[in-house]
Amino acid sequence: MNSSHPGARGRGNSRAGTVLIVVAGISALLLSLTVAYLVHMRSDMEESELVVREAQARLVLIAGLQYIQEASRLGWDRPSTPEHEEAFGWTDVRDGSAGPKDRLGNPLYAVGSGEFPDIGGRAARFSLYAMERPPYALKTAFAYNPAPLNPALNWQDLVNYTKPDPQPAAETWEDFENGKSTPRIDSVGRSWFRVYRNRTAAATVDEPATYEPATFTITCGAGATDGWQTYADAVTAGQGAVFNNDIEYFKLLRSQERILWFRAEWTSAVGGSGMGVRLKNGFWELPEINKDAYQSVYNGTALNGVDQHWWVNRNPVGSFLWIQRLEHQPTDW
Amino acid sequence: MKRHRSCGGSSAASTMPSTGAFTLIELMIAITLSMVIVYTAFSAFRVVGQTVAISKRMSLENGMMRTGFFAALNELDFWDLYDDRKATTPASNPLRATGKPFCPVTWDPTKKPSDPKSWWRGFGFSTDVANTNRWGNYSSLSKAGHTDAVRRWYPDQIKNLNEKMGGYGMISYLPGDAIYCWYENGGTPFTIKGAPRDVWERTSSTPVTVNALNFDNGPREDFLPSRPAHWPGLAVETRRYVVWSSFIDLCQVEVTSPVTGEMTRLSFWGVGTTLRGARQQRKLDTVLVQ
Repeated sequence: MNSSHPGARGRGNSRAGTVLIVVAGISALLLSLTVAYLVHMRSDMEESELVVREAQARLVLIAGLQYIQEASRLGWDRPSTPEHEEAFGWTDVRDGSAGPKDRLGNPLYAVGSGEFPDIGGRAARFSLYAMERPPYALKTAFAYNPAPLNPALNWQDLVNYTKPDPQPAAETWEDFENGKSTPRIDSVGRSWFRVYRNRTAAATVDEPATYEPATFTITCGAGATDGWQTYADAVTAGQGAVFNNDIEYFKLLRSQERILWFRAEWTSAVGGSGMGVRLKNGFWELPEINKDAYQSVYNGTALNGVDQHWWVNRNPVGSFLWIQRLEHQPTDW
Repeated sequence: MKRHRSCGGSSAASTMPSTGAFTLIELMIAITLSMVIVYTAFSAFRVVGQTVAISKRMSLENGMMRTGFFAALNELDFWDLYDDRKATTPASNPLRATGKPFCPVTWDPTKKPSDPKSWWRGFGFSTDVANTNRWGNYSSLSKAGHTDAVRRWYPDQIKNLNEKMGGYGMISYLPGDAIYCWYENGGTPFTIKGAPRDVWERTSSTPVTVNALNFDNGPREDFLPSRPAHWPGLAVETRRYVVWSSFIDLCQVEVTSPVTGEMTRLSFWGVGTTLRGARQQRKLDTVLVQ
């Protein structure tokens, strides 16, 4: 291009302008396509995140139900006493009163304290995370004692457990026993649940009536508020710093959470135990626990030699009479 | 060949504007290369277009799977495929008829293992009167309509639940250790209803379902049943039954591709609202504590 020539400069400028427009146009086109694609992908990802939260909240329901089951019997040991106390159910199987109570019938919780598991007391809060190493964790490696690949060996040498199997995931007994309770960073802020023990109450708009002291409201959360009902609760418990001492941050986390409310009634009754009796050589006796079922059909003949027994359910922690998803946030949770 | 070039010399011709042009071979090469580039670019754009289309289709199908997943979880909690909470006519909810699981019922939910009224009394090894009677008249201990309130509570309860709601409803409402048998007046000298079996034996081998469907079928909702042929299909099905003492709530989400006809099925079981919970959502129970 000869820049000294006015006409040539004009043509050159117009070509350059054309090229610029074309390049800018193509670039804008590519950019808009890219942005649209990325936005689309992000939208998909956000929708998938909702699915993950929903699934997480439902997994938490199972955790809440299992807590209620196990706590009907276990977890009430008083360290100050030599006895390892166990309870007899949320509704005591011996007299139908409100549990948990010890073998002498004394409550294993502070009745009237207003704290869980007091009936109508403040809900228990459970922040869920995975420990770096749980107590009594075992190594996940397998085949500590692989079978030798030598068919000439006798069977004692082929089945030779020279090393302990399984093996602990810690080097010392103390570490093995205590575990390492530090949360795994990728498991923090994902889920929590709360358990509230309901008072006896008539049915309201969305809430079923409760008749037994074994009815609970389980709040299942998938999100990062750690299960605090309100920001004020967290501050009162000295946990405001978890939320940067910022109520707006708490509100943001709460708005991103998936929360489901369920109500369930525990019962000591368990199924799958057959008749729970054993008839042998004409005598009734209690069945063997976890014995496989064997049954000869009774046909009205003499009972001598008849052996009937049934598998006995090994569930010692009860089951649920009913579970109900609440359509709206209940009054107490 | 030589191109005419502006030499910038002193001749008159050299002062004229250049009228340079391409030779034939240059043009042929340029055109050929251009065609290759255009073809490649076209192919690339076409591949990109197809990829974007596939991506969109997969995104759509994934979106439908998500929608189906949410619908299935919702169904797990609210049972609307079995009994529509928003139905305006009784005909829309046939499971509310007598003997069906959503039949309204009046009952006493205050069963405690420690309460003698909730104990089952009977002979556990026979399902006929003659053999039961061989060891004593067990109906005098307990039967429906017994004069003693403690001795009639359990048989009245189970009779009522069984007759109103059927097998699945009875199993759902009674505790896990219930015995599904009772005596009542009539016959010689009494009648045995049901078999002295618990949930394990009652549901062994043959599952007890919510409705008349087999256990491997459940109510199904086809989303967008009148959709255009080129739209993907989405259907959700739930199956609820009790087998070997276990309550099974199985959900299935099916997405059908309109392009390949391929069906993607997501099957999972979950824990959600039980029948009694679903009935309480609909306020079908009237409580009468005795």
